[in-house]
Amino acid sequence: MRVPREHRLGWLLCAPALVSMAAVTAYPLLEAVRLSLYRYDLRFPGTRSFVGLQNYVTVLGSAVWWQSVVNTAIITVASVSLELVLGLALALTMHRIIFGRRTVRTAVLVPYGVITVVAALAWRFAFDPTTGFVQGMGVLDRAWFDHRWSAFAVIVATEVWKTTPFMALLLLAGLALVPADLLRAARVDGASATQRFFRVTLPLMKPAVIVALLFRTVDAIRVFDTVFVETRGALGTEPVSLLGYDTLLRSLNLGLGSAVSVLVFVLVLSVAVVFIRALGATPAGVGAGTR
Amino acid sequence: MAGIRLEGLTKRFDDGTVAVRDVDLEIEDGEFFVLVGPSGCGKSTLLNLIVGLESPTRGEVFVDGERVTRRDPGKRNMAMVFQSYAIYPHLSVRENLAFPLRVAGVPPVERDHRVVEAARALELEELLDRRPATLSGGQRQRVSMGRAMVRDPVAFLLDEPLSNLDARLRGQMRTEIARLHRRLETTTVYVTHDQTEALTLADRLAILDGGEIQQVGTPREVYRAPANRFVAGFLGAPPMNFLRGTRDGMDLVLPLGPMPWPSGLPDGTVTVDVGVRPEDVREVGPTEGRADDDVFRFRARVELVEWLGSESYAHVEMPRGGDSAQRLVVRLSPGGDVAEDDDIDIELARSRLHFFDPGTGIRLRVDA
Amino acid sequence: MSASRSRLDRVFQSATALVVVVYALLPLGWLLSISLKAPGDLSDGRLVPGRITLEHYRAVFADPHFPAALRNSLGIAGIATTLAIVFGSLAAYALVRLRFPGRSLVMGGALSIAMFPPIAVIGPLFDLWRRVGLFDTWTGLVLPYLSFTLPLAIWTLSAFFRDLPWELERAARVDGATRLQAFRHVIVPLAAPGVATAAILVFVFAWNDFLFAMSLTSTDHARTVPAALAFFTGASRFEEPTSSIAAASLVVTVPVVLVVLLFQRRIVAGLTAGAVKG
Repeated sequence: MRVPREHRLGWLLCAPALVSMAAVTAYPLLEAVRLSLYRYDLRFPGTRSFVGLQNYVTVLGSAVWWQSVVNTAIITVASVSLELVLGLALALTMHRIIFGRRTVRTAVLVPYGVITVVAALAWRFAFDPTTGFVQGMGVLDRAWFDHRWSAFAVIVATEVWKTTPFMALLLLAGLALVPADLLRAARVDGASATQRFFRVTLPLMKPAVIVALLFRTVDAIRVFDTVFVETRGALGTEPVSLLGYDTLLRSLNLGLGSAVSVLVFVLVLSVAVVFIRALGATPAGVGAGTR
Repeated sequence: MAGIRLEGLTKRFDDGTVAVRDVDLEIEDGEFFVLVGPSGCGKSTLLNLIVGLESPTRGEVFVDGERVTRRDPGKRNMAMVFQSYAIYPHLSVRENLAFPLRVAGVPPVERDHRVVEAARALELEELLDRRPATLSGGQRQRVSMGRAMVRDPVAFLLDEPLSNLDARLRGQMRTEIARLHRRLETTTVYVTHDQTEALTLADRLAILDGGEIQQVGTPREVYRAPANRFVAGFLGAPPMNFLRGTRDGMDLVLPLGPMPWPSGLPDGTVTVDVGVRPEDVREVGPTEGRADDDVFRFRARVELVEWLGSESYAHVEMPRGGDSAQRLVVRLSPGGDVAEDDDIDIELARSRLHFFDPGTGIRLRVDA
Repeated sequence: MSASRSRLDRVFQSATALVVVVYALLPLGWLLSISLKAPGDLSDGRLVPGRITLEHYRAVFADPHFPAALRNSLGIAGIATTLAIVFGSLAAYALVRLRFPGRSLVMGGALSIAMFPPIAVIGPLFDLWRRVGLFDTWTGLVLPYLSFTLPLAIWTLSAFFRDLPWELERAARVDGATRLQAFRHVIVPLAAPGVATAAILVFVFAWNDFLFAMSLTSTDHARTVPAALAFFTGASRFEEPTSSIAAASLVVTVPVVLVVLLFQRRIVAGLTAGAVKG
């Protein structure tokens, strides 16, 4: 069968990229699945043995696992919803502001340029009693890292600070898709500003909002850097990625750790599928800049 | 239904451009009034000032005697049809038509009633549950008009509604708009750059250029007696021919040749712009005689013939044109057999000539 | 619009702009404050330091780990970026200009990787790298970075390539240029801004990574800046290296932020490329 030259050239040009992507993701993923079926502790390499789905039973039966799932959910829901609201407000501001437009658009990229670890350090130092600035600031004066919920608050605040601008940019692009004539027509039709926002702007932004939510939710589920730096997972704040890291690289238990990893992968995949199928996200052809 | 009055309306934008300059206009109740002019002449801005999407720098807008200059567009009870149709893509046709009524809090029963009525008037009944994305350009345009109709406004404002349609559809919609207006009798202000639309639809029209009104009148008035060179050249297709004429003793010398200097022109005039429409230049057979004081005959060579089926035009070189590339456009009888490089005889009737000041472009009166 | 209303608007908008600027710079301000505090004042709870010292910055530059981490970060991110741009450009060109079956496969694959949880491959990579000798090496990090930045590179580059006036290439060839000449003299200059933007986005992504750096390195050989910073945190709680960490953090952050601000418009366009077209 003659393969047209164009087809061959296309595949050829894509090959380096495809191979690179597959090599470090597809292959290790399969390896992870394989490893998860073994009892494999690097501290006792000799005891490696095939145990089937035993690791999964252990993980899924473990309170620590479910605790970390809940932790992940808390961080995800809190940060994504805050980012959505703040991001929307920021996007609207960037859209309508005239005086100081360039300042705002520039300032908004600063969190993007800051390494997540650095941001986490900054927030941690600010709220830590030994180095921080919150003493004497009324309701802010508390030992944030001594309690679970206040620790979550700082973690979420860090995440929100870092990624709201990106959310705002995605939403701004969605805002730009709302034709000016439609809003003018709505004005002439007698709709107030609020009515215009909820009946015209927001519905037309829906595809952009859903895609932004998809990317940010998937990102939030993978949270690692912030929690590592701020609490190291203590006080019941450990999310699934950190649990996987600890199991794999601290406990050196590759079998269990791989099971955790695969489960995290399944978790992310399910969320993505829900977004794409049920909510109709159309990410193909959408900007890809995540952290 | 109401009359609209504009007093001294001026709009200057932040960057200094003056889009509308000192416009006074009186639009009668129930009239179909057209604002026409080339792009950038300020007609759309003027429309936006009437509906309230823009606020004037100076001047007032009155509707039915009431001053509405500072009122929100939603509170003027006017409806606007946009060039881009501006139909809500996320709503069905029915919901689109109902939108203004929902926003105004009209109860559902009456809302449905008015929606159905408007749909019927525009033949949209079968499309009521469709989404705009599935509609053709003409159907979308009708939805846009339907949405304007349901509100039973005091005036319809249409901003180049037919510009996005292909030529044939444009002709059809033009007729529909005219028919609708006859039925509803609502005051309508219609903006277009197309002089054909303006002439066919308007009860009266205003021609704008550079933000200023050049002339206001019925189509016939402005076509037959254009107030200045701009209006004369803008209306009519093919456009009016303009010939530069200079005085030579008792003669007015045109590139075509000499004719008697018309009396009534201001003393001291040495040059004048003479305008004549292609359809007012008659081709005569060699045997026809009729030369008299008010009809001037010239001979010219045909350079190009444009045959359009129902009409035919010749572009002729003018004997005294010198090096100029200017050609006179002459309407020919379609059945004739004039060919390129032919020499033909043409006649100009003095009564059909328009005279304009070469500097200001203003129309000059001559004795009949 | 009356003059007073417009002035009120102006004030309101300027105030809003100020709020956003404060929002963006606040954590950096915290770091600055801490980095300038004398050791004894660290716990004084003051936002503005009572007295200022540069000793922490001196300490940072004197510390051998810091330049090593910088070197590693720059080198690894730089190499990964170069490769990602090269591979990504080839793929983007193919996706935009050629028709072949499996185009959606490539796009879909890129999308999946963008949403991939890295934790899922940390284990096998850790194990594999140790066995193959890539643990704690530059290559050991470049490979995963390459993988995970390729989707971003392909996306951004595709969006830019789609906007290029390709007819100019054809016009050049009609004018007598060979295909290669047309490519070099017409397409490359036009594509340069888009490629530069994609490079910045990819570099920031690689520069920012923490998980792989923590998992696949252990010494100054390959430990990058984010890992080095966090590692400081774990080790010596006794000497309170907080101010040094803050100083190091700022030193590392300011250049990147400046570059980002310099190319602000392009970056925004790149980040949202496709979102507008989609």
